[in-house]
Amino acid sequence: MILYSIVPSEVVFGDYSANPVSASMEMDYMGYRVQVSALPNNQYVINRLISTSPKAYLDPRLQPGTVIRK
Amino acid sequence: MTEENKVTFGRSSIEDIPREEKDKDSGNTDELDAIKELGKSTITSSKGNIHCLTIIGQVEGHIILPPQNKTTKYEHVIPQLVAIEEDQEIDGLLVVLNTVGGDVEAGLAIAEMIATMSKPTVSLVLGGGHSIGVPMAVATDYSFIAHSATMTIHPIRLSGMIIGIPQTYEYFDKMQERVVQFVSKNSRITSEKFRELMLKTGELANDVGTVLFGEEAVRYGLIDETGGLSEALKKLYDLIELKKSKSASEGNKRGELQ
Repeated sequence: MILYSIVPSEVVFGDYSANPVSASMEMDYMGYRVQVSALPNNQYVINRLISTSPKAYLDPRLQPGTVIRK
Repeated sequence: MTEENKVTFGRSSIEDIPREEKDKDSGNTDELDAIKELGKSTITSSKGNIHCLTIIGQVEGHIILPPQNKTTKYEHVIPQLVAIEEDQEIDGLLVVLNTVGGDVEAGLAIAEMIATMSKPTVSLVLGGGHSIGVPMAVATDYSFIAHSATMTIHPIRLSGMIIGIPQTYEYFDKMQERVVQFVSKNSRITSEKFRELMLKTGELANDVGTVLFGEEAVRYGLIDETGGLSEALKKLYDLIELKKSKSASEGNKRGELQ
């Protein structure tokens, strides 16, 4: 992977081992498959939408960063 | 999936979705968070429906970047571009850029998607449109740069272990060529001039390259015009109007032949 950026790689990646990527899991929400990370209070934040329907990617409720409750 | 008729800024207009009374307030906050995370919105007007895509921070590639980075996720942007291209109710796309670059392939993927859309597209570089932001800015039908915005043109670098053999440099050259050719094909700058800007010494503190700011980007033929939000929107609506009248006259011609 080539990082073509004016930000030096040591700033971008920082101390990579100190920030482990939070475990994400897949679940179904509103009929679509989403990849989520767990938050406290039984909430989840959407990391990614996995769908073959392009329309779904325009739905504001399915955008990465949306906090959902299950 | 129900039809989106008129999606206003950040809110879903689909009224028949049941929403519990006590969740009404938290629902609004969730939507605000969603705009904050991705910065997407639809604007509806009588001149045409346009979508606005913001390219921010780093363009994330195949590795999830650490949380201190703000990222643009290509795996979300690309299906959105597909949806915008095929949705009959969306007439055009405004791409707003303020990016420090990022993954070459993800950036070129987004740039190629934008360049090959049939609907009118206009880009606006605000703040910065550096590195891989350059191909993305020129990919649209027409590009604008704000007077105070800058674009850094510099060679591709690889971090980490580099094996010092000729093949490595040929590989780099090929990778770089992808960017140079895309930019010269989609703007008025020649590939020789672009390469010259890329390798200029004396401007950047820790690299070779050039920082173009505002007017300079237009002068070199990289960006079409200096301007801001109102100019970019006006241009986009003009392009939409042009496309509508062109397809209307083609329809009339076909009618006459019959």
